Amino acid sequence: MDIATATLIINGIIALMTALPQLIASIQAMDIPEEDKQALINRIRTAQASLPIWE
Amino acid sequence: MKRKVFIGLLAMVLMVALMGCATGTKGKLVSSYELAGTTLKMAYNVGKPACDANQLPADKCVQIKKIYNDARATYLLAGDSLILVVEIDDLVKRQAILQEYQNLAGSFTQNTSNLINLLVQLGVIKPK
Repeated sequence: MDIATATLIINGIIALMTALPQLIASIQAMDIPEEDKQALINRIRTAQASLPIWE
Repeated sequence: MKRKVFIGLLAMVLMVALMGCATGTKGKLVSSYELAGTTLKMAYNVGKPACDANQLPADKCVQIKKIYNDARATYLLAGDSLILVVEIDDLVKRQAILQEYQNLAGSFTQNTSNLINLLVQLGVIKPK
């Protein structure tokens, strides 16, 4: 992986984190349908399980 | 390798954009969480093989491993908070947990950035 790609990765993370407060502000008052809740929870669990422990 | 990484990143960005369009704001928040995890996974996929192949000093591998595992632990905690955000209907409680999620996500981002910077310094991620 070269420095340009690594820079792209970091900039992507920073952009997402910068957008996070706006996302959070809009989700604060949002009702989530029950069927959507489980789908979102499943995605979060899958993302958590994707990271192995470095033994 | 560089082309594969670029294509992978492009696919991830497109996935985030498409998921955002399909599911709205809550989907975007989960998508950003997923993408952040993928980024840390990519750093693991670069750093661990280098350490397993003894391409780096042992003390640096210990340091890299610690930063990765700390970032992973924070990521899991952030995910648990995000699940509570999805589950809880009470607006006051949700607001408090969202703040907690934001703090954890910030800490995770810092750890991941530190890890990538270290991999660059050690030459595992090489400049052109």
